[in-house]
Formats: sequence, C-alpha cells, structure tokens
Amino acid sequence: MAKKKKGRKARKQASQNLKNMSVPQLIQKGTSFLSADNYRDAIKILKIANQKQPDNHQCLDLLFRAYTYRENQLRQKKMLTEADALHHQVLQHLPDTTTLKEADLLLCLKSTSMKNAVVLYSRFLAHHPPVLEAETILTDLLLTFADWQAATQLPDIAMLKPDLPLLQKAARLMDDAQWEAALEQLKPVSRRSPLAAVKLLCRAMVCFYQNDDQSMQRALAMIPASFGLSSVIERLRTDSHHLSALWQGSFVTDAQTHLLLDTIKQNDFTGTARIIKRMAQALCPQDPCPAIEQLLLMLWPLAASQSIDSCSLAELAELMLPGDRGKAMAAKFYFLGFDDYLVDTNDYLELLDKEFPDPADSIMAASMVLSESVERIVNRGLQEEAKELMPDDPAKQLGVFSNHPECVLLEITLKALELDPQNLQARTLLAQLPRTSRPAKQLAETGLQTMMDTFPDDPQPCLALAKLYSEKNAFRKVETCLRQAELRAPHDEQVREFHVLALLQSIDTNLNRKKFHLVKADLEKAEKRCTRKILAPMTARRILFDLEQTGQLSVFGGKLQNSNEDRIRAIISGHISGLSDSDMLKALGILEINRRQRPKAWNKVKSSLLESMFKSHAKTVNRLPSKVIRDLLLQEVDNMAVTCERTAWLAIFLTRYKTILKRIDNEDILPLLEILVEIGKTEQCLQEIRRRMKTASEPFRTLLEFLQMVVRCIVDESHADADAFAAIIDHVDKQHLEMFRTTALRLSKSARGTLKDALVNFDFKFLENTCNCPRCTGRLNEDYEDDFNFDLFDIFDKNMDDPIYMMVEMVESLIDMEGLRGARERVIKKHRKNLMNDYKTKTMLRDVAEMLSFKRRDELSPEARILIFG
Amino acid sequence: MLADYMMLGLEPTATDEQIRRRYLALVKNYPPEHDPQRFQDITMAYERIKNQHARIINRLFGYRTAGDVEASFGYLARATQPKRQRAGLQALLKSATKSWPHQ
Repeated sequence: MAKKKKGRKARKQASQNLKNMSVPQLIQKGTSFLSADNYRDAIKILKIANQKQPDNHQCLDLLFRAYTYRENQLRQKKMLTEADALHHQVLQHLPDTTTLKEADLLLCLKSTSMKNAVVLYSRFLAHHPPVLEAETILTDLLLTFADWQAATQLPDIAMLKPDLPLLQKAARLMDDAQWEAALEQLKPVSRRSPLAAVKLLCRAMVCFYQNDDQSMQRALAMIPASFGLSSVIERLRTDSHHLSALWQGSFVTDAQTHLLLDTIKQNDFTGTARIIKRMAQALCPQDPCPAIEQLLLMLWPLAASQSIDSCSLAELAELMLPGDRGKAMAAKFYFLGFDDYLVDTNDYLELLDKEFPDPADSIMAASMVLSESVERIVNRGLQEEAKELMPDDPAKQLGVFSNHPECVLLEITLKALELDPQNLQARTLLAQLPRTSRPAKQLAETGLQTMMDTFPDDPQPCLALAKLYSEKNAFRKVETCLRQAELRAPHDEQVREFHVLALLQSIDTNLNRKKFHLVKADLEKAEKRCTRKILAPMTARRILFDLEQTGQLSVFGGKLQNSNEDRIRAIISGHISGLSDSDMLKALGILEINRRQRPKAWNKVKSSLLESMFKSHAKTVNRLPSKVIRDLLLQEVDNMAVTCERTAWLAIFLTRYKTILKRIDNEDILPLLEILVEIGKTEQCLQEIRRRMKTASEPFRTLLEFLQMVVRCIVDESHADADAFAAIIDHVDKQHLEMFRTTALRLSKSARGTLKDALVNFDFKFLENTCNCPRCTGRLNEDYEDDFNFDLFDIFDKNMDDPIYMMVEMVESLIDMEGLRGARERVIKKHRKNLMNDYKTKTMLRDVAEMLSFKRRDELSPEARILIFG
Repeated sequence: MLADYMMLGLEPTATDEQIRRRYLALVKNYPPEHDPQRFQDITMAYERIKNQHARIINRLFGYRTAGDVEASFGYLARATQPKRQRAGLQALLKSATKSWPHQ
C-alpha cells in the first residue's frame, strides 16, 4: 500500500515539474523524446507546451510529427482502433502546407485514407512541386482501396493524373489475376513514373507464373521501398511458398518431415502415428492408406540401420493400416529385416496377395521375393546353412522338397523361375549357385535346360550349362552347348571367348591323358576363335603341346623329337617372342602353375627349364607400368582356363618376383590389397600396408590406416569400436569420402557379422550392435540347447565371486522361465517391450546392459542378448 | 510408389503408355540444362513406375537402402509440391495478412 502511495506521489511530482517548465524547455524535452522514438511521452510534453503557448509553430509542427509517428507505430503493432483514433488528432494538427516538409508529408500520406491523402497532397501541390515518392504512395492507396472517385480530385499538376485511366484498367486486370494483360497495359509507363512500381509488380507476377523465380526476385528487388503493398511484396520476396493464395493443393513441408523423424527416433510411436496420419490425410484425403504405406516404407531405412526397432515399425504398420493390409505390411518389414531368413520369406509370401491384389502382379512379386531371399543368403555366406534357416513347411510357399543343403537354394531359385521365367536375378543365381553334389548338379542341369528351351535366342543359359558340363568334364556336351550359344549369338565375343576357354580346359585334360590327337584337334579349333584377350593362355597350351611331344614319336610329325635343353628352350622362346611383356608373363605364369601341379617324377629337364625361364623374366616386371602389373596380378584365373585358384596365381608372382608389389603405385594397390584379404593373405596385406604408410601422402595414408583397421578387425586381431573408425573417417575430406565408402563396400565381402553391416552401410555405429545371425549366435550348433541344460546351482556355487557371471546366469534362467529359449527374435523383442513397460524391470534390464562389457556379452545366449540389448 | 505418380502428376491407375507420354512431356518442359533437380526427379519417378516389373520391384524393395530417409522425404516434398494458382491483387493482399495453414 505504501509503495503504491509513493509511486502516485512521485508521478504527481513529475507532472507538477513538467507544468512548471518553460515552453522552450518543454520543446527541447519533446524533441529529445521524438529522436529517441518515445512518441507517447513526446506527445504528452508537447501537449503541455501547446496549452501554454497555442500559437507556437515549432511546437505545433513537433506535435503533428509526434502524432503521425505514434499513429504509424500503433498500426505496426496492429492496434488499429487506437491508430484510427489518433489519426483524427493528426488531421487536427495538420500544419500549414506551405511549411510542410516532404518527410512529414510522406509519413502522413502513408497512414491516411485515400480521400484525406488526396486533399492533403492537393494542398501541398499548391505551394510545392510534385513529389514522386508521394505519388507512389498514392498509387499504392489507389490499388488497395480502389477509391477512383477521390483520385479524380487530384490537381492536373500531379504526375499521376494523366495516367489514372491506365492505372484503373491495369488495376482491374490485376484484380482478375490477368497479370500478363496488366503488364501489357502498363507498357508505356516510364521508369520515372509513379506507376513504375506497379509495372514491376506485374512483371514479378508474370515471372512467377512462368516458374521463373529468379527473374521474379530481380523484379521485386527493383521496387522502391516507398511503394506500399509491403505485406505482399515482402512475402513474395522472402517466402512466396507460404502465400496460400498463390498455391493449390497441400504438400509435405520440411518442418513436418523433421518433426516426424525426430519423433520416431525418440521411439515415440504414438506421436509418429499421429504425424503420419496427418501427412497421409493431406496427401490423399479420399483414401489415406496408400499414403500411410508410402510414409512407413520411407521410414524403413531407419529400421535397417537399427536407428529404430524394426519390430516396432512393423507393429506401427499393423496399428495404422486396416486388417490384412496391416499384416502384409508388417510381414514385409520382417522380410526386409530378414532376421528369421526363410521363415520371414514364407510369412511374407503367405500375405503377398493382400499387397498385390492383381494375380499377375502377385506371381511376379512372389518370384522376386524368392530370388531375393536366395541372394541375401548367398551374400551373407550362409549357403551351407540354408537348411537350418527354413520354416516348418518349406514345400508350400518355397517349393523346397529336398534335404540336401545345396539343393535348398537351387529349389527355391527354380520355384522363382517357375513363377516368372523372366526373373533375371533368379536366372543369374541358377547359373552361379554352388552345385558340387550330384543331386544339386542334376537340379541345376534341369533348370538350365528349361531355360535354354524357354529362351531360344538367349546364349546365356547355353553358356551356364556348358560351364556346368565342363565342371563334370563332359567336354563333348560342353561343345554342343557352346555351338548352340554361337548359333544364337554368332557375333558375341563373350560366347567365342567362352568357347576357346572350354577348349583350353579340354586341351589340359587331354594333355594329362596324353591323347594328343584330341589336343591337336582342339588346338586348331581354339586357334580359329582365338582373340587377343586370350592369346597368353592359348600360347601356353601350344607350348605345353609342343613340350609333350618332345622326346617321343610325334603322332603328327612322324619322326622322333629331340628332347635336349636347347630344343625345349627354343620351343618356349619361339612361342613367347611375339607376345607383349604382359602376355609373356601371363603365359609363363600359366606354364609355372602347370609345372607345379605335375608330379615330381615329371621330366626334370623340362621342369627346371620352365622354372628358370619364369625366374629369368623377373626383370621384365620393371619395364611394366603400375596398372599393367596390377592387372596381371588381378587376372581372373577363370579367363585363362587355369585349373588353379587365385591364391596360387598370386603366390607364383609374389614368391618369384619379391619386389613386384613395390612397383605398384598407391593409386593402384587398393584392389590388390582387397584381394589379398579376400584370399586370406592378411599378414602379407598388413605388411604391405605398414610399408606404404611410412611414405604415403594424404589421402592414401588415411585410407591405408582405415584399411589396416578393417583388416585387423577381419582377422580378429583387434576389436575396433565405432569411435576408432569415426576418428579416422571424420578427418577425411568430403571429396575423398567416396573412395573410403567404395573400399569399405569391397572389403565387406571378407567380413562377417556387425563389421560386414558396418562396411556395407559405411556406418560404424553398427559395431555397437550385436550380431544375431545363426553363425555368430551359435544357433547352428546342434549341441547349443544342451549347453544351457546344466544345474544352475552348481555353477552358482563355483562362481559366486564373479557378479557378472551370476547376472548372466540369472538372465539365462529368466529366458528359460519365460519359455523364450529358441523363440524367434520378434517374439523375444515383443516380450522385451512388455517387460520395458514395467519401470522396475526396465531399470533392471538397463543396469544389466550397462554392467556387461562388450566382451562379456558373448557369454550370453542369443535370446538373452536380444532380451537385454534389444 | 505414390510419390512417383505424384512426381509425374499421374493417378496410380495410369497405364504404361500414359506414364511414358507424361514423362516425355515433362522432360520436354524441364530439360536438364534448365532444371537438373526436376529432371533427375522426373527420370527417377519414370524409371520406378515405367512398367509392371519396375513397379513391383519398387514396391517390394524401393526403400530398403539405409541412410537415405531424408533424401526420400525430400523427394516426396518435391513430388507433392502444390501447383501455382492464379491470384488477383486483392486476393494476394488478403492472403498476405494471413499465415499459411501448414506453417
């Protein structure tokens, strides 16, 4: 109470002080308030001065200005009623137009009606020349209020007067949205005219409708600041996308997208459902279901990268979509996740007709789902375990009847081809799937023969069948197939080369069997078809044939061949002399492999001579450019018809030409290092990386460091976590990042588990997850379930000192108690979700997860791992 | 799928021939020199729905790749961009004082 009284007293005192001030003092104070934009106090003080001296012109001028500024201020604050009330004061204190300044005039015009503005400007023109800015404001008022009657009252001296009919016509067209016609109408208007701004606005709008936003912005930038319509001009300049009158239809905004992604990343699935529903409603108001499906599918990559739980996304789909549509969508998500392998495929196939109601579409989709499943199993290197990944009834949907592991994938592929013979993925798989056993070979043969009949113009099934026959050493059948392929594609170089390679393989076999007449016939056929690309393997066979003939009665020459050293040397030199350095090394390499594969009892002279010739050409490597050496070492062994593995091919060069890797530049070495990892020569690879890291410049040094870390993880020398990889990658320039990504992808072939996922996705956060594949979890181990059938109490007694061990055992017993042992991942995850709803259990699970270090996680069973870590 | 049809301004019931015609018309309107992003989007949409095989593949595995969620939503946003509609000066003035309902 006392405070209030004090305040009132102070105000009374201040008011009394003001009243006691002299007029000049009040004017000075008023001026200072005006310059400080404190218009309300300025009005208060100047009013007192005006009461004291009503005829003081300076005071009246200042009061007018203070009222005008205050009115403007109130309009900006959208206090329109107060501003209108104040406008009367402005009009009352309107100064004598003879002394009215331009700035005051403009201010006054901006905040008045058209009628008042015309009166004021007419009065002003009686004593002053026309003002362009003032007339621009008048134009603006005319366009806004369309008070053309008032405009006719303007004196003839006004610049606007002669253009009024023009402006009226243009304004009508602008209101009718005929901006092009309005622009045409305003064509004669000069840049100095008050209508210039209107013309520019018309031009901007014309550009807008021509989708030329750049020109629109240029036109808007030329409109002077004094031109009104500021609300429109400003919105057009800054955010034309938010001017609802200009757009038709609804759209997805960045803000909505960010909100959706943020919400789902926080695992707020209720909020996510709400946002998706709203977005879908905006996209398809009649039937939002397709839009919901689209939005959910677009969120899938988050589940794939394990940023969100895939099971929760599937549940969301079931919640948001009606009946079978929801179930089909959920099954699709499980299939995309592929955690339960062929079980997921089976479930998805059962609901596929709900997603694809058209039977033709459904059949084609089923074929693709089957072939995709096979490819994924192959990519994950689980071909041999395919039998373990099957559902309970594999015959119905997957078409699997066999028990043989190799046959499982072949049968699925054949089923895919039966549904859709055009399925290219399945056709490729049929040609590439492993078939070492007799039943698998039979299945592949039947399938390929069907393909040959189904596609009478395609040489590929013939080539695949020929390859299969060559694996069975049935060379005459191979030839028949290849002749068929040549008939189908007479000018296809690939077919021709394949034919030559098959002939070379036949030559090798017949040379071993010493059936030289067959060798000679095959050599002649091969020479007819030989291309430059296979010159080296061809030459090697010719040399071998000539060498085999030395020392025995030639069935062709009819005389005894000389077997002395010079003669052998002459044969080899004679054949390789015409070859390029690279082809010469290739031919010698093939001969060296051939020599190593022969029994020790083989002709010692020939053997030592071949070895010494291969050694003696080591210097040739020094003449070759880096890229050629790389290509020589990376040569596909299949393309040379050499019956050896890539490892042997690399080994003969790396052991004989010890410095060969040094001749390769850093730019070319990567594929070679990747191959070394692929064939298991990791130690040699790491050694080479270490050697190069000493001298390499950026970005190769970092790349080699990255490579070293990946290789070490592959050989399990060290466990690198996500942070260690991030420490390397974060420093890499954006321009070089693609190189790292490619290297990671290529190295993923040799990796497994979470490291493979991290390399494929180039996201090393995957390393923090646990791998639930059957191999990593040990699900494939037959004795696996028995491992947990021990007497818990005995073990407890022995390990009472190890609290983590106790914890592990507690979790394992929980798994058994809840009946989760051997359950599917999604069932365990659902159970985990229910447990997490209880605060106490949630805290306990979190504590257990925190306490178990990365290495101790391996002690848990896969079910326990899913239950604790999700 | 839906986004691809929206990108081409078509109904999901459009035939292969209608899709092709629309694609050719759009490519003519938005050549890569003038609007590379739009051209890329139109081509991508066409490739995804040009025939039955492409449509099924896209529907089955269209979004399985990890890490491109924001790009997908960006594509959807571009596909669903509203059309420019004719508006007169008075309508513009009225609209400028209101805020956009989706903001």
